[in-house]
Amino acid sequence: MRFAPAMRYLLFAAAGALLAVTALAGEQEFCVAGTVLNGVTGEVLRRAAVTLPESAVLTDAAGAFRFCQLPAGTYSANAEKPGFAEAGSRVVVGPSRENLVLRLQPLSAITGKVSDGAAEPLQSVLIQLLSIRIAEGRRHVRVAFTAVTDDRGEYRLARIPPGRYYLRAAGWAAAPSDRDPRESFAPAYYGGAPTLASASLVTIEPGHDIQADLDVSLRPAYPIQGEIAGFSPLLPAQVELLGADREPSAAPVALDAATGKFRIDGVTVGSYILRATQGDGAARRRGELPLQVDAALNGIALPLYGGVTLRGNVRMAADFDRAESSSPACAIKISAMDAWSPDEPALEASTEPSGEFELQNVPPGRYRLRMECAGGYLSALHLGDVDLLADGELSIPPGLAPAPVDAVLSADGGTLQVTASAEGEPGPGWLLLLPASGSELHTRLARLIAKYTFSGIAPGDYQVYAWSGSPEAFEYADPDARQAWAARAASVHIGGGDRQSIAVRVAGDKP
Amino acid sequence: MTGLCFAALLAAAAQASGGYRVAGEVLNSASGRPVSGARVTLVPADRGGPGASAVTGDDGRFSFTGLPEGKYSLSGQRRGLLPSHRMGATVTGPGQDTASIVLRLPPPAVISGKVVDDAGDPVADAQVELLGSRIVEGRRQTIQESIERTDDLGAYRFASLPAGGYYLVVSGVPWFTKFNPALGDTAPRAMTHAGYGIRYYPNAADPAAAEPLILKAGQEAGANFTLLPVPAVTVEVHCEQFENLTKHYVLTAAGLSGNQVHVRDGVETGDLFHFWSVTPGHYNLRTEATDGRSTWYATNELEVAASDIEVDVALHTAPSLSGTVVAESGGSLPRQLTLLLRDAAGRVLSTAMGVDGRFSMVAIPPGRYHVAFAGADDYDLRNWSAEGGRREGDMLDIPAGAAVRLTANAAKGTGRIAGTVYRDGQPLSGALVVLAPAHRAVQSNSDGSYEFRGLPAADYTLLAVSDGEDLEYANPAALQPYLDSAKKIRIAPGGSENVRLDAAGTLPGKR
Repeated sequence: MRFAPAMRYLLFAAAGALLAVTALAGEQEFCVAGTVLNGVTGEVLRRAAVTLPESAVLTDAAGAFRFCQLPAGTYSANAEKPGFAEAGSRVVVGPSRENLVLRLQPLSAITGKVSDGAAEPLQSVLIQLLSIRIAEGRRHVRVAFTAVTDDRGEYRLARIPPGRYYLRAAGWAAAPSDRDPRESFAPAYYGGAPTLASASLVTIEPGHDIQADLDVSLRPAYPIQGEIAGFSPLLPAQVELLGADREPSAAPVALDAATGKFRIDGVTVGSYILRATQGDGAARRRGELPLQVDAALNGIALPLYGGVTLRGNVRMAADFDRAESSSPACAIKISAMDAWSPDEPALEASTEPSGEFELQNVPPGRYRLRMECAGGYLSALHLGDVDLLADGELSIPPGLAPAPVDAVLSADGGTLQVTASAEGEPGPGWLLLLPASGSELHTRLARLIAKYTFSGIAPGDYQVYAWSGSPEAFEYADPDARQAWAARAASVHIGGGDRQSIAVRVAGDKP
Repeated sequence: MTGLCFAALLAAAAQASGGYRVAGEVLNSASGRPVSGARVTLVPADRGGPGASAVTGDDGRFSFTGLPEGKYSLSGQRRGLLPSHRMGATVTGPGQDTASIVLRLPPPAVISGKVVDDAGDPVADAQVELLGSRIVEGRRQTIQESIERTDDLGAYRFASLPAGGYYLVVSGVPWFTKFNPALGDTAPRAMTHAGYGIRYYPNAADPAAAEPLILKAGQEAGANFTLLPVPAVTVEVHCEQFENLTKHYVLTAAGLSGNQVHVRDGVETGDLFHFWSVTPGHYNLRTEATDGRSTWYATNELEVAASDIEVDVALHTAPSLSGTVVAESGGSLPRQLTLLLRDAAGRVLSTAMGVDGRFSMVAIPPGRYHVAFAGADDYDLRNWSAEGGRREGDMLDIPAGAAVRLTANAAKGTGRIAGTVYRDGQPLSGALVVLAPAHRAVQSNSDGSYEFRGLPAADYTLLAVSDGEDLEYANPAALQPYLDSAKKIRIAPGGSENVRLDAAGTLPGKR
């Protein structure tokens, strides 16, 4: 550091909020020094940036850095370099700290080549790397990285953090200049699968680049043309073609903002959903139409519908002590069932004191309903005649007000106190209560520090799981994952009004 | 004849076993080998109607039969090769040999390379600008072809290039200068005040030392660059007008052949903007703000030396250009007549004129423009003057904030020159026929014929060059060597001349 002491004092005084201890003029000063290393190979990293709050240096050719004239205190030292994940460390200074080692995990790259059936390289192919998020035990994906193949059919996705991904060739990134635009290909996942459900995962380890070639089959592709029915001229609108997993297709959509006429070129044979959306907020209207494409389609009329209101009522079962709790208190949420992360958030509501609730502007579609109520459990849940208690799946048809949701809240639930046993991994961990009935509305996931108490448990048989690490480790809605994890389950039977205790061993996040 | 469609004519002609044949072969222009699987397209050139296409066999041959007498334009394309450019028409008729046409498809050239810093680390996200040296409107010009950004390995690649001369300009910012805004005063200057100077192929700092990379068809050339961090400064831009508007700032530097190199840009709302990592040199800062209806511009010249600088930007109302064009011969103007302004980078602004010749353009960026007519080939811009701007030859300087009034005459040409090009007594196909001083050129057709229409009455010089692809036909000095074989023609109003030309050979050693 090159500042005169008085100047330095001013700088650090300004940053005082960031430091546990602020130096007074004339107090002792210390150094922090160390090395930045590649976390996989152990090689030194030169020209990495190391920052303390309010100061930074670059490492030298030996990967070394040094900050001096630091007042005593606790600092957070951070290191970064392109191609590596950032890493930090808390450092207590006073005395000086030498030999601090900051290890940066290298990011990875996926490179590969895209060919057609005749092994000819394909240019202008849009490559998507999909990252995975687990919510409510289910896998959702979103596009995390994209690349486009060059004239050799090659692509490169770089600076990818370790993890599990899906990789796919999605379609043409731009109309290929060297090919017949009437040829295209259906999306192809790495390994050749046509859909997400059948695709294999690509696992990225830190600093391990992988080669992943993709094959696609060029086939005739067709234009589809039509018109949004009930279109309002010049109000922003969108037309999307959704593929087998309701993912947005790469085929380019041309929409005339004045007339609502649209044209989508290069659509391969297959099943699609055509979706149009216009307007915002309460004025938003949406229409969806299933399409089977095996030839050019003309004159499609895609009607728009406003959102509907989903109403419901939560009733107290007779067993509730009216004096203790006069009205139900439930949080209600519906979210789209798509495996591709929907581009819109879940809709949420809570019950009125009367037990009534409503969700407004619900676009037509398929949803999962979730309800959590204080002091009780749902003993019945219906949408009209449809029983929702098993999976909460409901369908909102276009343009029609759905039947009301009718829920019954019971108070005779049991209580289960779970304690992490001493021989397991040190916490914190995750605790899952999985009903043998399979009811997703009775499934509970909680953070386990040392102890956790579930209350208001619907009577029945349950399996209890505990693991450390990520809450996303167990995709419990997937039967295969449940089977794989079965050996780790502790079984309990909860009777009405029971109070039970169980000790569970917290283990790693692998089945 | 005009009432019948071409396909019907084709069928009728074929049925009568009459008609003409256009046939030949497609060759790889570099290897001379036949190209199989090439698509050859034949389109009537002298009238409307659909075209026909054929795919070459293993011998590279194609054939169209049963064609009516007429002029056709013929083109070939195949994946992996660049399209052919045969500009003269193929003429069918009695005595015409159209059975041995050769279409040559050049293999594409590639320039690729890596950009690294002084430590050998890749420079990711560096800007690599490709400029091509090409004949545009009769003059050899250095024109921006494409811009790429280097990937995480510092690699870039320009593919599908035609043979020719190319310049490369590389610029970038050291990644670690991103700490400048937060730590500009507390981190070492070598970290926050570093920049990379612009580099020109072959890795030269001085644009005067730039050399073209000459590529043959199909050649793969490598061009690597090393960017050295040098001390750089921060340019603080103050613009106190229109605090609520978003302002676009673009910093450019003088580059090759009068081109400006795009150095950096930024978008900011408010009155302050910073460019950091600006290396010493002379720059042009252009500022633009718009509220959707009006646009304001400012340009500032910056001299950057060793210290940070501050620039005050004063926005002016965008210049406007309005005026009247009068038909020289009296009467009204053709409906489609358009006034074009073209800047040095090739960007075009245009406005349609009413039939009364009035026009008005608002929100023109200040600068230097080439002024011309478009939309009606037989109209020439004559006797123009610009009040509020400055005329220099065909160029018009439009200063910031000016309201320029342009008056001009539109001269309608009604003259015609046509004829045939010969060499060694035989009609010559594909010769460049040049009309001076009108800066016009055409390629002779397969029967050696050529035609210029819409010529104003004037004295012309007419010449033909057998292989004139590289000829700067709008440059009098470049035409000098061919004047021996040129013909002087006087065209009276509405006059028509038939001129036989003997083609001169290409002179060796010209570029």
